[in-house]
Amino acid sequence: MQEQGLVVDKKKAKKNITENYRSFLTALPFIGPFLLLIILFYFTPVILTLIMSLTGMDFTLEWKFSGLENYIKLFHDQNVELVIINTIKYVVFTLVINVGFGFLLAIATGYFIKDENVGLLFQTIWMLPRMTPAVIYALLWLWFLDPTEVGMLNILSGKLFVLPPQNWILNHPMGVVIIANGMIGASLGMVVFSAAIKSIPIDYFQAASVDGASDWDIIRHVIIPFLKWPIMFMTIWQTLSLITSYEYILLLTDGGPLNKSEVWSLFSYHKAFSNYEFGYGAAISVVLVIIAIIIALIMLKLFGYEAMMNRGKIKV
Amino acid sequence: MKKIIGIFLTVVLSMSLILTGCGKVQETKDAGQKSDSGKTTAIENIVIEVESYGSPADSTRSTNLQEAAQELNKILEEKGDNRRVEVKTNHVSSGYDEYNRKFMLAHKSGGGADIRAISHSDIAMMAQGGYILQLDDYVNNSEWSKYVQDIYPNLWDASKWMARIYGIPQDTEARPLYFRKDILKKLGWSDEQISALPEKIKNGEFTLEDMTRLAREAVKKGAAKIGIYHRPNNGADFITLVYDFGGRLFDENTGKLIFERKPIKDTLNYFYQIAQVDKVIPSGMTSMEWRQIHKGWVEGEVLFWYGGTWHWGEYQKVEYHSKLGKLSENYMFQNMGYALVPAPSKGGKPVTLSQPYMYVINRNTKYPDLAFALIAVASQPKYNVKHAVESGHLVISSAAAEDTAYKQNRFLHDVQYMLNYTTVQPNHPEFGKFTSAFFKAIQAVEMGEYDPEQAVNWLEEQLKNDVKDMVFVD
Repeated sequence: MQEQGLVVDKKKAKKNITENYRSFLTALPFIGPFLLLIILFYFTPVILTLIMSLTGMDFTLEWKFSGLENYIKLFHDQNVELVIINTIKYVVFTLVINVGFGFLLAIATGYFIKDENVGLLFQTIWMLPRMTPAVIYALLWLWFLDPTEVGMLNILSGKLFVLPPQNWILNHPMGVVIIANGMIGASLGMVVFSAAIKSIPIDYFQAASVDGASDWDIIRHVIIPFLKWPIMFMTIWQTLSLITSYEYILLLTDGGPLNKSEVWSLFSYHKAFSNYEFGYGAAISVVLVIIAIIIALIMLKLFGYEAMMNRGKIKV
Repeated sequence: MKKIIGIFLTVVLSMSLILTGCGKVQETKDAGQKSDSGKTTAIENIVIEVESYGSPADSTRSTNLQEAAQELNKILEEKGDNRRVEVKTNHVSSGYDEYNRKFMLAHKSGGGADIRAISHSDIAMMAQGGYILQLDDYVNNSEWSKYVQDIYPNLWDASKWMARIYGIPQDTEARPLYFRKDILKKLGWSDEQISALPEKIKNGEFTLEDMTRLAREAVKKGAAKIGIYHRPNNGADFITLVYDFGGRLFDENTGKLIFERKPIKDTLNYFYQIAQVDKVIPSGMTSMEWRQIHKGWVEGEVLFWYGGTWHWGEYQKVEYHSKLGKLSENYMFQNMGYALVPAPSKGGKPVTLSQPYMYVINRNTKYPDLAFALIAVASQPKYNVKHAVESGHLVISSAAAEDTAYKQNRFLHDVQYMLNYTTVQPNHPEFGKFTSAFFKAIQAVEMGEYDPEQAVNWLEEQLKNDVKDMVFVD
């Protein structure tokens, strides 16, 4: 009997493999192009970066293999500690603005403003910086924060609080970087969250109102529970995006003054493209890739991503 | 199915035609000319791409080659060469690092401009990286040698890497200390005293300390808003001060960079003093905008300015003054003076620094002989003087220095003596790492983040990690 059972199991397993293979072949034309793009633009660069990190590639752009030399050098680099602290500050605080402020904007424009067109108008205004080229957006900030008496923020602080002109970027580089990135990042959160709010069945709001719930109660007990997955998605997405992004920092402070706003990804850029230490820059990037993978895995575990991705328990 | 194949073929054919049209046409053949033997030979038009860097006033670095191409074409015609040169120019005025980076990447994919104008301090990196041609044979043993033989020997030295020539000097300059005459007058200085100042600096009678004291007095008495301005970003001007304090940065015998702790610390101490102790420069000087600096200087708010000779040309071509716009040279002579960078102690030798520009030839070029010929022809005094006069640079040869237009230019004539006191940056591929770390150390002391001792320690530690080929001397 046991033997018979084993034979049946083997047959079942074989059947499953064949079925899986067939379903993969059926799906291939659909996922094939995207798979190819992912291999070309995600996996290949990571592998190339990994190989490059084991070389002493410099201004000659030649692959001179040097083993783990770059990683040893990174271990001894006196800037690493400051750069790590800066990166943590930058990611955490910008994330709070991106998700938190994005959520507030979504509530304001998608819940409190009942007229949908008016809500959309405000959302479009908030989206404008995202539609503006990064250089223009950074220039606007530079003009706004101009250290002279004609700088807009200095005029405002002078008139409102009778303060002398300040060099905002020099005195608060990290604050400037966080606010500038947060403002632009919040617009994405706003769009995702307001769409999620719109998808909540109206019955819940009506039932809550009938029960005498205040706006705060509705936000707390209706909106937030429904927005669990969008908040999770935005948090993961923005964390990974912030760890690797540096373009606004490059344009606003260039990591300065004195490395005060240098974050890990910009550190890699500077080593590779300013000092022409491409191998060293690649080693810094590899560390970034490893950290990003670890953070993504931790976050997916924390938010219960598996539960969301599991197949439905009810079969139709 | 036939329809699909038909559409596919049409798309492929159209794309091929479009891509063919996009291709870079380097040469075309025109209607022929008659050679001596009476036979008609086809004229070959060759496009030479030139790119240069500098302020808008320096665009003659490119346009001179365009003009020289006409003269070269006549020479080619006279000697029966059927090739004709057409020059395409691109003058870049911002982002020097990016200017180089773009070329390096283009070179690796087989492209890049045929001729480029770069700072001499990048010769080592470009030569060692295999980006540019070695030119000894062209310079010494070619039919075009006669055009470049008169170039000053010290400029040839600046064009060398491992004792080989890789660049043709294009111009040179000095980096004077400018001072505002109108501010000095407000402080009670007579015209005679003002005109004697450059001589006093030259003789070591007016030191860096005197300069700081005067700047402090000007700010205190309200004659100037700011005592001293220097450049806001990484650059050669800070190296001038290291040399001024007696520092050496390169050992020519060993070919290695040197880190001499004392003069470097003295230099950092100088910037610490003027920013944090005497407060004659803004503590945020290293994060100011260039335009703001130029505006402050031309509008008479600053007593001293560590500038360059090319700024003399730039202020006449770019509108920095909010009321006057471009400055007239008369206004500049009336209100601005120029001298060497004062010595740190009485009786010491003042300095300046030159950063000669070089024409280099891309190793990928198909026409190295024509590229060299073009540069050689453009090195003649008539072109070089035009560039010098228009952009405030100094000429490259004794013949050019004798040119009437050059001799009659009062500013260039006045600053010519500075070449006797000049220094240059080392030609070493890793020197850029030193300058960028050194700038951060200067930023640290000016902002009061580090004192000079902490800054020099930080710098030493950083360079030990970054630079392979450096000797550290206490």
